[in-house]
Parts: sequence; structure tokens; C-alpha cells
Amino acid sequence: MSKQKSTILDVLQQQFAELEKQMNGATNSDAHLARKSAFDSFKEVGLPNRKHEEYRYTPLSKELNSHFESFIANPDLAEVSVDLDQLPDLNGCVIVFVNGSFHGPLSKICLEQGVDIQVSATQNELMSNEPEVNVSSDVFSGLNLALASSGVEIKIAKGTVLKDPINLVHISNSKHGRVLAMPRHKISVGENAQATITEIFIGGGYHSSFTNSVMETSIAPHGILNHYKVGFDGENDLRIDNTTCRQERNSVLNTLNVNYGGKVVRNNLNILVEGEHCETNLDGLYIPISDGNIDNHTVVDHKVPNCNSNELYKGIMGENATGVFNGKVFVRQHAQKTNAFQSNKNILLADTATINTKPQLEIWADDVKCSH
Amino acid sequence: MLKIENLKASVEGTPILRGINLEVKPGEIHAIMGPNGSGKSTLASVLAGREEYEVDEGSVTFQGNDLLELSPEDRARAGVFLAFQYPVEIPGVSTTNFLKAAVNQVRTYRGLPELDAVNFLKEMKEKMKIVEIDQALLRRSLNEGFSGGEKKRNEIFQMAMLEPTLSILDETDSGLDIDALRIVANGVNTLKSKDKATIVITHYQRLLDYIIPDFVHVLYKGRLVKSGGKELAHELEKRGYDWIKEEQEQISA
Repeated sequence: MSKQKSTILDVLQQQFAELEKQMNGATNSDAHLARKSAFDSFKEVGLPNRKHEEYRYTPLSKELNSHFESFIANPDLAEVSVDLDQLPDLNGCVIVFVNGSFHGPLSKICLEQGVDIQVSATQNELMSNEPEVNVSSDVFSGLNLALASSGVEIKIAKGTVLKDPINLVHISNSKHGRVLAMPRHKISVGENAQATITEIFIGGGYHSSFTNSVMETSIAPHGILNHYKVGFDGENDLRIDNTTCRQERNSVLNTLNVNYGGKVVRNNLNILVEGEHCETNLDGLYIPISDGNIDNHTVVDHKVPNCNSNELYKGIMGENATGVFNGKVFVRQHAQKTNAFQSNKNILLADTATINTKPQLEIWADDVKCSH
Repeated sequence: MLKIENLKASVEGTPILRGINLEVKPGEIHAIMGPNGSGKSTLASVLAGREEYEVDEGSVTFQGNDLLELSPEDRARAGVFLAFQYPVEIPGVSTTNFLKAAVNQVRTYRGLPELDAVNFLKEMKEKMKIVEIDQALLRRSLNEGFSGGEKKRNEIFQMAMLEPTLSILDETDSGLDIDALRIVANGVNTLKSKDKATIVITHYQRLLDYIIPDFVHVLYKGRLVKSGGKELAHELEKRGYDWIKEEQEQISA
């Protein structure tokens, strides 16, 4: 009998078994149980294929299946040479993750009053914080919960105004072998505090890489968060980013998501507006390379009255590039006086380029102004 | 200039202000701080003459006149200005037209000739610099589609144009990032003069780093329970409002 071909699911199963082994002494801890249940439900659901509405135009699972059927382990961090020139000149704190692991020597963690930065390098540390599971039910987000290996938690104390941005740099370097990275971060902006967080994703390398990152943010009343993301992915990089934000009353969220390149890049941005008089601005730009696919799925959930959201995403597609935009805006029944505007503009530079765009406004309230 | 005596007010039968006494003299900046639901916005609305608020007792005298007797528009003509916490949008009315009408109303009341278009625009261009507002914004309908910061800057711009004797800023700092806050504060400071007064209502102390108040009052459960200089604001920022609440409970116990 011939040996059965292994699949990405086997690889992930193996990863999880490895991880469980490392959690010696911590088995049956809350953290372990949370991971286990996350992995079990992932196994049950499986990777989404084209039949799943949310992943219809995103061949992420297909690519994963064909490139990660026999993944072994990430190349040793010491062997990975990071070209320092790749790193842009950055003000303020710089926290670097290479292939999903925290990289101390490249990082510069400065201590500013009112800012608490906790880097978790091991699985156990990471899971001591409760995940905000109710915000996103995405299958990849669940997979990250099960397999996340390192991340950072940043707390901005009440009333603190951050002078410089905090930079999170993710480098995926697949020169020496395939890479699987699952960083998991959490940021909370305190009452009346103001912060700017910049996330930079740098890819590249001959082998395939898969980054599945999670970023959970929350903004307390009167807080302001500027969250900027820039992705420079290589032609062999697969990446999915799951970002959630919970906004309390009178808070402001400005997000900017710029993506250039990548084999398949998927951004899930979920914003929950839970307090009145919030302002939410979502901007994005995507320029996929030929045969590349960049997909932006955004959700703004207006649960309460008197909030504004404003969304503008633009794309440029040439040759055989594919862009996807799906913008959901929910205006719940009680969310009267909501202003929700959405716009997606695209340029196709060739007949062979594709854009799949779908504005999706679901409005249950009757005294609102919404447009797309 | 402004004298509030034993002011009591309610909304739909619920008493909110329970006896406010405050005197504001020309040239002074008063800050009113307080926890959520203490009555800060109600006080501002009562002074501006919003109809939802019922004045049950007390008096407010503004430059010798009974302010409560005046209609909201007469209060505005007399030189009272309220910068809203949540400015309303007026579709179809450009900011420029809105302001031209408002400015000329005030001028007529003061016995000054109305400004013609040329002089009005000249005046507007000058005042635009104060709050670093873009002209394109003024051509658009009032506040429609403006960001939170733009709305607040527009409020201060209106204040600059109307040159009120008494300005009340109701949580003008909410939703502003530090740069916008600086612009707004700078606008208020530029407009300060010895015959004008300002009441700044805020939950946080940050704005008062830029607009330095002469007096700070704490409003709690509809009464001004504590007054002091600007150091009181710093104390509130550091210690929160809980100690005020405790102090009050001890007094009432």
C-alpha cells in the first residue's frame, strides 16, 4: 500500500502536538485548554475552500495545501540573516519578530511613562491573557489562538499621549526553508490616551512562507488609536492578518492598510463600535503583483447610535493580479443617527487583471445616512 | 459679566442642576470639570437656552440683563456663544453662508453696519488662519461629513468670527488628537481679551494645559462642590473624581 499523501492539516496537527509537548507542566491549565479547544474546533471546520463565501476569491487554502504538505520546522533563528537595510528608519519603539519569533537584538524597546510593553516569547506566557474570542470567529484567527508562539501586549495608560509611534516589524525570511509564523498581539488604549501603532510586514525568500497574525485592539472612552499597517510581501509569501478593534464611547480609530505584493495576502479587519459618538476611519491601498492576490475584508459593526464611519479603499491591479474588496457595514436597529460611508476605487491596468469588489451594507435602523 | 445664582434645572422632571452659584468677570477663564452625568452639559445648554431644559429656580444675569428671559437667538445676539460637544450638521447650508447670516445678525444687534461679501470674505480669511481651517471645508455644507476634529475646529472658527463676549466651550476637547487640540486651544487663547470671558467645560485636564484657566470648579450631582486654581485640575487628573465623591458623601452623611 502506498503511503498516504500528507496535507497541511497533518502538518498543523503535528505542529500542535509539538507545542503540547513543550507545554510541560502546563497541561490542563486554562491556557492549554483554550488552545486545545481552539484547535479542536479548527479541525472540525477545516480550512475554507472556494465554497466558503468569505474565501471565495482567496485561494489561500489551495496554496497552503500545495506548499505546506510536508513542513518540518522554521529555520533556526540564528541561521536567518536579516538584512538590516530592509528595516526602514523608525522613530520610537521597534519590536521585531523574525519568522514569528521575537528577535531581541533587532528590537529597541524604550520605556516611556504610561506605556507597558510585555513581550511574550513562549506559548505559556502568551496565553495568560484572555483572548477576546467573541470579536472574530474566523477560522484562521482560531488557528492562531491554538498555535501562536509569541507576541506582544501593549497597554497605554489612562491619559497618556504617546509621542512616537510603536513599531511592530514582522520579517518573514524563507531563504533557508519554509516558514510558518503565528504572532499574536494585543493593544489596549486607555481612557483619554492617544497612541500610534505601526505594523510593518516584510517578506521575501525562495521558499514559501505562511504568516497568520492576530492583532486585538481596544480603545477606552475618549481614546485615540492610529493603526497603520504596511505590507511588503514577496512572491512566495502567503499571509493572513486578523485585526479586531473594540471601540468604547467617544473614541477615535484611524486605520490605514497598505499592501504591496505577496502571493496571497488576506486582511480581515473587524471593528466593533460599542460606545456612542465614536469615529472610525478605514483607509487602504493594495497593489498586488502579477499572479498575486490581495484581499481586504472589512467589517464595521455599529451597535449604538451617533457614530461615524468612513471607509476608502483603493486598488491598482496589473497583468494577472487579483484584488478583492469586501466591505461589510452593519447598522443595528438601535444605532440611529449613524453616518457610514464606504468607497472602493480600482484601476485595472490590463484585460487580464481582476477585481472582485462587494460593498455589503446591512442596515436595520431607519434614521441613518449610509452610502457606498 | 455673568452671575449665576442658585440655578436649578431639570429635564423631563428629573432635576439635574441643584443650585449653582457662579460669577464670571470680564477677562477670566473658568473651567468646569466633573464626572460623567454631573450636569456639565446641562449647565452649558441652559446658558445657551436649549428648550429641553426647564429652569426651576434661580437667576442668570448677563451684563445686567436677565439671560433666562432671552430667546436663544437673542442670547447669541447679545454675545453668548456655545461651542457644542456634538456639533449638528446642516445639509444644504454652506459654512460660509451660515456664518455670514450669523455675523450680520450680531452686528445689527450691536448697531454696526452689515458686512458686504467682500469685507466678510476678507474677515473670514483672517480668522481662518487662527484655527488653520481649509477654505474648501467652508464651502461644504455645515459640518456635513466633517471629521470630529474638523467639526470642533469649525466651532472655534465660528467663535472667532462672531467675537462673543462670553464663550462656553462644551467638551471641545473630546475626539481631538493632540495636534488638533493645540490648534483649538491656540485659537481660544488668541481670541482672549480683557473684556471677554470664557467657560471651558471638560472632563479631562489635558485641554487646561493649553488653555490656562483662572479658576477651576468641580461640578458633582448638580452642584459646584469645589473651586480652586489650575492646580485643582491636575489633582483631579491624578486622583480621579472618586475622592470628590467620597468627600461629598461624608459631608452629606
